[in-house]
Amino acid sequence: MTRFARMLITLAALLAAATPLADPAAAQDRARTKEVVVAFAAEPRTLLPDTIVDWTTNNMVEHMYDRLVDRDPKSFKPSPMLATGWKIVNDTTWEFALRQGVKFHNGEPFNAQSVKTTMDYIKDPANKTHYLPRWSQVKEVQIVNDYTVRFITEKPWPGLIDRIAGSDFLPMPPKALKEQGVQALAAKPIGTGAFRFVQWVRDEKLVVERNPDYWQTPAEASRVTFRFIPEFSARLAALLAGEVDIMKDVPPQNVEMLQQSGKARLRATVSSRINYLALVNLKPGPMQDLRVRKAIHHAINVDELIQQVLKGRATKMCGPLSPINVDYSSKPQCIKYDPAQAQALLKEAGVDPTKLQLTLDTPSGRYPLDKDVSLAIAAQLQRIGIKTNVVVNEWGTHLDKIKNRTTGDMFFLGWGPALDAQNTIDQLFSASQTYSSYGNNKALDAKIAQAVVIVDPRKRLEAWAELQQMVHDEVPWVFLWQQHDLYGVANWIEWSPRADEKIWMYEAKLAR
Amino acid sequence: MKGFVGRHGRGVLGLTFAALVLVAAVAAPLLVAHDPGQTDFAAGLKPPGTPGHPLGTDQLGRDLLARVLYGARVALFIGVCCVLLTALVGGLLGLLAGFFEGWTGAVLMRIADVQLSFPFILLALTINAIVGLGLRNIIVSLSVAGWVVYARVVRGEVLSVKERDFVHAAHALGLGRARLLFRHVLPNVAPSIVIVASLQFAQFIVAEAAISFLGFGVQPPTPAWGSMLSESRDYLYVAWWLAAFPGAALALTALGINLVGDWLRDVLDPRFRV
Repeated sequence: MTRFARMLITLAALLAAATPLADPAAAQDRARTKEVVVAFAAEPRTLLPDTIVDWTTNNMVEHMYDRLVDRDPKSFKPSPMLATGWKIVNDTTWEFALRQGVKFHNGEPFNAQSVKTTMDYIKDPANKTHYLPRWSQVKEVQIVNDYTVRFITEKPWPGLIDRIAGSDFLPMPPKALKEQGVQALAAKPIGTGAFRFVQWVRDEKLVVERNPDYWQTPAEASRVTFRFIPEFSARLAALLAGEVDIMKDVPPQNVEMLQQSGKARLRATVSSRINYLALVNLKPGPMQDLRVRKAIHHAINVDELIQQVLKGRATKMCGPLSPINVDYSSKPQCIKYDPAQAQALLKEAGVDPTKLQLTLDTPSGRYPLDKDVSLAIAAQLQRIGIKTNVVVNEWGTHLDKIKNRTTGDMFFLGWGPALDAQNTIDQLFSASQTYSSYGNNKALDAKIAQAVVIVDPRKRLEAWAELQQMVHDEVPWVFLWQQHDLYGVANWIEWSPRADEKIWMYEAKLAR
Repeated sequence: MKGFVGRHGRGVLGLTFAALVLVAAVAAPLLVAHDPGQTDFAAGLKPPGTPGHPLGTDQLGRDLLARVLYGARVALFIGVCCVLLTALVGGLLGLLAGFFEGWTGAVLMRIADVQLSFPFILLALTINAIVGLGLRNIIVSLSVAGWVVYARVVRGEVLSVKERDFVHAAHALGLGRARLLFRHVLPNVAPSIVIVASLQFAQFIVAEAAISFLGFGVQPPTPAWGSMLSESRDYLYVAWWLAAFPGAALALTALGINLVGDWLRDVLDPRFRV
């Protein structure tokens, strides 16, 4: 009955926002003691690192666990974190130099054994981690000395550095894991991160405190509390009431109000997360026909959606990758809004638009104005006579339908952080992958298999560019846009959002 | 005259409200020029009083008046369907359970008891989660959750009616069971069915709105008051009218029908008949 809980929370938050009785001292007290409150839509699905692929979970886990390799928030290039440097030894071997003098929260030193243990944990099928298939190309981790490790891959895998730069590899403490076991580590995380675990109250909050022995300058925030508030409007109400200090996804229509509130500011960034409308060919239906997919794309006015529904808060895309993707090619030309062309293509395919009934699956509240966008798309298709039923799903149901291939002819989804080609093109256009909507294209499958193992950076870029064009020509999606992430940030906190959507309070600078 | 107002005032008020809603539902296409699904993104979130949009527009530029009026159609349609279904099924089962007191009645009433031990809305939600979304399925789930009330009330009435002299007399004259049941017992419990139906009607409409509010039930773009209220939450700060008008329509409808129900009870209940 989480929906009921959600209603109650909304009500409570609205009441809190409406009454002047909401304790105004709370926010000031927190500013003095440097305690930051961050609102997330959901609680973590686990506190184990390297286990569940979920943006919300990782955002909290990575306060306690460091990444082996980070990404520079500006250039999106891999940058050192627990690894200080890396090099390619040969086609199937990557070598990483590790940072010295780093300690886990229990005092255990971080070293090569920790990296090996982490890979062994991921590779052990008994642990059932989502990361196992993501690391299937790695055979093993070899220890060279205490602070040098080698990743041995089955085939050449130049994309390894892109995979490792981010949430895919968070080193775990080998001794604690061995002595206490996985369950104990899930209950009380022990990482090398800037914050230490304090308390997790289910369905309410997760609390972490500053790690004074951090290997860099300790964080400014003495304590960070993560609160779980599912709805945009309730999060915004909590922010304006001074109950939380940072929230994501300010609804575009509330931007002005937020800026005039005097309590918080808007911090916006172009996200690496892309939104698209999948035209599903992995199940029988009209979307099997390329001409129909093309016609649908021509019938949808993406610019109008961006301007009118999202109030300009999105950056249009013309192919499967966004310009901030490191493998982006500018070659694919935008498929233009052209209803006449759409009609002609449908006629050619022998489809009468007025008899065509389509179903569109959408989540609600997961991406900026997702449901409104879906309704607007249905309205645009109606203009050329196509009737579209919009099915609004709970988030979990939506993902399950995509995994089980039981969605309608179209579905709305976001994908990110989408910073390298393999992570998008390999993961979303092969029939064998979990979240695919399009596949069974032999030419494309072969080309992807080729591209993944190319070591030469230039040839690799060329191969991915060619693939982007191939994908573009197949119109597996209505290519929509890169999200703009709109954060509300309390006045006393100086923090800039990152394109990879990491809300990492180590980077927050506090007033006074 | 004063006596009439005292006795029938609520009824008149309720009937007026109900009639208003009925007219809105039936004559919706005549009352508004806009189609409830017609979008005009550029004219989104216009306040009430905007020329052409007396109640304003929603986030996609759809005319709110049209959506509220067409929403009345959806609400009444669901209400009527549910009431007919539950009255038919629940009434029939109640008749049987009351008339055949043996194991038939016992089994039926135990099923009813088990079902009554769950809160109505929770049960309806659970059934809805099983049968799936959509207009037809919400009618099914509300009906499955709602038949018990009729069964219990009708059974109780039948138990008392069937011991009355005229029933015994009819039986003594050699009337068949079916004829006895439908010709002599049913007309005497009919007023109760009507009263329960009128009260249930409002409950079904409110329950449908609640379920649609939670995202189950009627799916967009079909205009339903519950889902309109739910959508309005994201815009509460900037567009109060999105919540106010569907909410008022829902409240007015429920109030009207309940007043009619109360009044019917007073008029039809033999204990109040002088």
